[in-house]
Amino acid sequence: MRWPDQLRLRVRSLLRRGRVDEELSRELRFHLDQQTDEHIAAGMTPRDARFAALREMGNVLRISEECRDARGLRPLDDLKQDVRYALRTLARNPGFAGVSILTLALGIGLTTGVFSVVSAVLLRPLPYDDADRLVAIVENVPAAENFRGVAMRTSAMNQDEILWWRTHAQTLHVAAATPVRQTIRTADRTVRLSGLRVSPTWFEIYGVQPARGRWLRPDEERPDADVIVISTAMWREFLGSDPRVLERTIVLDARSYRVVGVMPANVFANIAFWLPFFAEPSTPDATTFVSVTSRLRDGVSLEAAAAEVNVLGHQLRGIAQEPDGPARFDVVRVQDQAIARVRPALRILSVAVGAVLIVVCANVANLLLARGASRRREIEIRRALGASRGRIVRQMLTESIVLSVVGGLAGTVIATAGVQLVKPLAVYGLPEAFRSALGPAVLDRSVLPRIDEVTINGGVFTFVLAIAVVTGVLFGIAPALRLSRVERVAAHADASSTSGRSPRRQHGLGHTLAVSQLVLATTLLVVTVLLARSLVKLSSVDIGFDPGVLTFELVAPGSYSPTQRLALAQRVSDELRSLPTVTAAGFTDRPPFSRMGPSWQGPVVPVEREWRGMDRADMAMIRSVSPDYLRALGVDLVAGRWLENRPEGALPTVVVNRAYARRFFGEQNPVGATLRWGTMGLFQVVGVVEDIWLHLPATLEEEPGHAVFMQPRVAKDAQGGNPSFAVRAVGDPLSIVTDVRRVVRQIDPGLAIDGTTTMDRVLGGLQTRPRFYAVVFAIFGAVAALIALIGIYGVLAYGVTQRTKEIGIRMALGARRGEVLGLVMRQAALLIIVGITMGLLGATWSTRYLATMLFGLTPLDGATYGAVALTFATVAIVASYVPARRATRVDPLVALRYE
Amino acid sequence: MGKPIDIVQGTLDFLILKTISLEPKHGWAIAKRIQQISHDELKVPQGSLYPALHRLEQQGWIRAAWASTETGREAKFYSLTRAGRSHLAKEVANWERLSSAINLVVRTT
Repeated sequence: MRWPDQLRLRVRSLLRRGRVDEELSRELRFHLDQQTDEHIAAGMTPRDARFAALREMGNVLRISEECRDARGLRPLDDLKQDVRYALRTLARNPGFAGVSILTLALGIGLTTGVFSVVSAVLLRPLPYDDADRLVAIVENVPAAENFRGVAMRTSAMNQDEILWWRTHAQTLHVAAATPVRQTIRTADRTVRLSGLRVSPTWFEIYGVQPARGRWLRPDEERPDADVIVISTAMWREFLGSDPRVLERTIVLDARSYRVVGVMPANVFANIAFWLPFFAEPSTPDATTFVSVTSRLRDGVSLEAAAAEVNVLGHQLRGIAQEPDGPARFDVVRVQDQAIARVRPALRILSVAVGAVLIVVCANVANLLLARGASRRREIEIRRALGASRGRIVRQMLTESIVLSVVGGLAGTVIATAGVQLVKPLAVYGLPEAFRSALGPAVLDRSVLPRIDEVTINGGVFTFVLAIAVVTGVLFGIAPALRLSRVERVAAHADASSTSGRSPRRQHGLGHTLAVSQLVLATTLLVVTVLLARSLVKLSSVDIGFDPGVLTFELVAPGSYSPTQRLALAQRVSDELRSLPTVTAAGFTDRPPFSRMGPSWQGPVVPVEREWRGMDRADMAMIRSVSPDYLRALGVDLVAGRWLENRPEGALPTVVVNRAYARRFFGEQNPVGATLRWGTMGLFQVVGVVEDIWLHLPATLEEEPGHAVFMQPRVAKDAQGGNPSFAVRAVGDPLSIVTDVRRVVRQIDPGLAIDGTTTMDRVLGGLQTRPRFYAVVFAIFGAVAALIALIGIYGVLAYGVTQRTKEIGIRMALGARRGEVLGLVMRQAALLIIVGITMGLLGATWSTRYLATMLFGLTPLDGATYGAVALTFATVAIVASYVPARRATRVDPLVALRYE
Repeated sequence: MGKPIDIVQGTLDFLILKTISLEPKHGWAIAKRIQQISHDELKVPQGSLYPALHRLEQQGWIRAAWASTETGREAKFYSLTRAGRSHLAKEVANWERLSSAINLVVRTT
């Protein structure tokens, strides 16, 4: 009951300081008046009475002071005084303050940046109800059963199997989802949207509530259901946020759907609409895989579900369970699955920044100790004036906390800037066709999942402040304790005893620290330079065409037949070619670097050769290209002519690349030769083009492979894929996008163009991952290097301070400046050589894990190692020159008088 | 009658609490009252009175309010809180035990 009152009073004393002081003086004045009145009543003159009262009261100022102490304001006053004093002291030593704050800012900034990523990616739950009960069924497919011949862990499921799971699983609610893309047409444009076909239970499994209307119903799980749930964004964009949205219809791919519900804006930002899922029976040729999401039923544990799923899975496949060995079927939390790829990396990163922070603390402690000597006299005086040891320690700790809080604030600025810089680098920024087809698209938009959610927010800021205070105490306590040991009178004796106290051991620790920082920084710098050089090599690969070309996908509604699509593509390409700003335009079934569209590889040989039993490595890549496509890409024609719209009756014509010509014709000219593609027919070669890369090479040694480019045709089994265009324009390729839209719209308002970008940007996007890693390592490397330099500087500076007496004696005995300089520099050189050598060894060990990420370089690239070692050693020598020079400035007289 | 005795701090707190246990008083009146009751044997050192009052208030034993005196001046009146009252009871009991013990020692030796 008492403490709330106490707290209230204390807060009042604190916040309403003026008011409390004013009340106190009123109270004391009342006392004086009362006392004066009494004396007057006893017969004194008013003047004497007043004096007598004042005399009796004593020192009013002291009473006020003591009253304020009684209110518990003393520690706060002291703190304020300490902070002000600390700031003044720091301002007086801008060099020391600057170096300390820089190193703290780097350390805390790095920690903050990593923490902001860790908290967004690992710690924050997904934005669904009970997100930890969302699970996925996974199957560990053994290598022997996988058509690719490798063991695989998958949660994609044959769509026939989903029904089985749904009826049999007692521990799980199960829902299927499969991506679907449809076009929507408005008065002035047609666009393609990404949606999902989902089981009606899908919504309950995610635990989301509709913003309007309802979700899909179980009886709507059939092909002819004309219901749709739309996103808030779609509602806004296509229905003008009409409040009567539930009475509206939406037309997708020329089919009309009734809107039954609206998804809230804050979830599933990348999905525009939801249609009912229905299982199409699989045919022997084609099975459709769907992704499955499940929720643990109430009261069911993850283990129980895993056990049931494993039993059911074996029943479903009609296979016996392996007695021991890993479970074939398992369930994992969606949350864990989403971050499984990056969790180990982020854990290592967290430990690494922890280590960096400790190193930073050690460095600043060294700097504080080095400076301590110059403050010895100040502390002597303060102790002589009566300051207690505790008071001195508190003052010193206040100084170090002030230092680290300032460092922390600067660190937050650095972290904010760093996160701003790194975030966009992690996003692939590629049209879907060029992105990996693996995994749900939501997770593969960036190198790190959930990268959009990474921010320096309140939680992170609180973390920074906590870290700052903890580091402040950590690096401040040892120097503070040591300095406070200075006795009132025995200060001089103590000074000599401090410098006499096993300096070797203290040095040993400092040196170990400095060396380990150099090791870490060298390793990181080697990795950074390797990654950066590899990126440069990757960027300079000759892809065989000029990437400054516009590319887009021409999207036709699903109802159009393959014949219609081809005719439309031909018309669009003809019309585009007639634009004055366009120099060439064509289309293909699968553009370079794309992972979507047909990927034909077949036995294409000169007609007189045998094609049966051909090695897969000898088969040619076959792409269909419209006559102008290769020209639009900017491929060089080596011999013959480009493809032309062939006259009826003649053989279909093809163009081959140089690799193909070399492989099958050697030095001969293949133009005019006849080729046979297995059972597909005969073709006539009309031209040879320069080799071009159709995928990004994995190594510098890889060859582009041999390819045959043929005219587009309507194949019997055409899947109705969309043609990808290349348009070469005069000037900026993106400047003609509006013209392209207009042309497409004039030809058929139902057509959309999607994935509009340039091949330049595609190339840039494909390098996102290596670029991201290179930048992250560069940041870590630069920070580690700076911290290590400050570390060396601190250790040497502390060493020089401690050896002031020794240096003084040496100089008094006739040592020259050069010799003193050499004394310190020899020590520095030893540290640097040991540190960097060990760092290089560390790099040879750790870069083994880097081999798959390097392009055109080996992890043991000598030039890189040499350059890093040389540059870093030079900079480190320069950093150690500063304290070394200070040693030469030691005045022997002053140094000896100290004792 | 000798020179009045200056009260030591622990005792002062106790006497202040006792003095205001009947009715709220201001600082001057507290000092006067202690002097009167003890027949001028005890003298409240004025330098300690106000710090003691503020400390007791901070500790929650007493509370303060501004009110007018009979002479029409504004003064800060102190009164016991409930916690203060029970604290006082404990202090009184302690004091009685201590003083009777001391008396016992003084008289028997």
